[in-house]
Amino acid sequence: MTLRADPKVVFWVSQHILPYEAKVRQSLARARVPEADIDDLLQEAYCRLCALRSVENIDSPEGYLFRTVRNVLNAQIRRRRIVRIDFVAAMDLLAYADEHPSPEEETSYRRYLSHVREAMLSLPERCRRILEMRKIEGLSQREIARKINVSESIVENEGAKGLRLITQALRARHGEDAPEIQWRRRARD
Amino acid sequence: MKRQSAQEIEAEAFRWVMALDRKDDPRGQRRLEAWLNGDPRRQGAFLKAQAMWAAMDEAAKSQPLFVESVRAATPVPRLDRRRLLAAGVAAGLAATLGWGLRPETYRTARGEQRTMPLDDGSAIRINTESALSVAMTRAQRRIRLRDGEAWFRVAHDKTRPFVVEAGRVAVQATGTAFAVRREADGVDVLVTEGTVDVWNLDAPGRKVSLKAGQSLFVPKALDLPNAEKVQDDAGAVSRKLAWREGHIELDGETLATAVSEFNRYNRVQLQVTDQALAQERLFGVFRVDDPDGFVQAVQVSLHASIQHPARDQIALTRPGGAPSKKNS
Repeated sequence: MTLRADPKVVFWVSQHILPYEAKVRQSLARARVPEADIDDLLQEAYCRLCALRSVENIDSPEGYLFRTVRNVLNAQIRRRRIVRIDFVAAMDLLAYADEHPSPEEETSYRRYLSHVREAMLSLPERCRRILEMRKIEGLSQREIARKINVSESIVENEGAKGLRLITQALRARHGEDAPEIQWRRRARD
Repeated sequence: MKRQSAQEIEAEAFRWVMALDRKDDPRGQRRLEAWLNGDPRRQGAFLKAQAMWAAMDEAAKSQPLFVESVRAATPVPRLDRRRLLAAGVAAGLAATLGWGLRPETYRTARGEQRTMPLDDGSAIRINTESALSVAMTRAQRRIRLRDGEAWFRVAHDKTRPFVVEAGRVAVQATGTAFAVRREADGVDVLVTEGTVDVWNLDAPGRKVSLKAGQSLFVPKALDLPNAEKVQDDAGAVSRKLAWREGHIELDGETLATAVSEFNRYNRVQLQVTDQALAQERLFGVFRVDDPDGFVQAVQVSLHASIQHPARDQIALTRPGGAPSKKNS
């Protein structure tokens, strides 16, 4: 069983999947899926990506992500028996968004990185300094703790807080990411 | 057992990526495996956390990302936040367009420190009132330290030597960490990891090697590194680099030396008006941006008294000491 993704897959996800997460979230939110359920669906989708052995043959990672989320949704709809209107609507919207891919991969990735950069810059001072030492100066958690004279668990807390704040900041940017999609509800047949 | 929410799992995954060091840590790895085994959703959360961690590396590359870690307690008038940010953005833009014809120049104001990642994975921490330029070519990574002091953590790359020039003094490393400081009377080189070579650009044949924990001061009159002058004292190297954590560490330095150290960082300038007092030796750790705390310590431990000859000036003297004696 694969517990941990292959390093190649991790890198691929960081470059080709993360930039589109906001678009998926946007589609699901439009269908009025509650945020906690969106979190669950995406976590499940990442879980499926974890099992990937190779990524060379995936032509459109964006499409792959949308298909994965739809598969997760489908499985949930089948498992639950009770039809959730939001989930059904979400299937439609995901299918629609999938048919309208983002203009260019390179652009999406660049924009994503610039959002990450902005989020990192607006972190509280101590949090930022700790991530800076960890990521740029290449220090271990223990070394950082010794340097700034706090316990290791404080360093861990602050670092994790930084990641959480960055995630939140990226989430808050939903709406800006895919303005090119003209949303309209399609009649189900 | 209560079902963990996706957000809770995510928060735990963030802790894991934060806690796992790059070095091998078999026990940590086993604990991680156990955690991942506990719930398949954790595997997804961990993948996402790892991917974000990698994206942050990409986002940080070749950008003066963490612009300004200003440590000055008193605002420095010359420090214009907006201008600095604009410079950062311009540098970032230049970096994405590829290195321009001119090397990038970075400057810090008094009391300011800055960490700068380079696109090869190296990092520079620039101390107060310093200026340096960076030129990256396929054959070489060259830094010119024009003023002040900086510490370098060099990413290993045998094909592209990393050379720091401070005046005519050059320091070269392939993968290591060291600091270079320009002083009025010479250049100080301090090695924290690995080895470096030090030489004069006019005499490239005479190289002096330094290893971790060693330092070498190259006096200006000669500008030639002298192997006999190598100091082998790791404690001294780490004390001299305490500025990276915002500290000044004194281990028997004279008051005169300590005062000139503090003056590098603050608008409030200290002076010692008594010769004997200036030669007293001090021990202790102080914050670079807290000259008042330092002055208090001096008052208590050296029985000094203070005067304020002008705004932003503090003079340290001996009560009843020669220079301030008036009526007798």
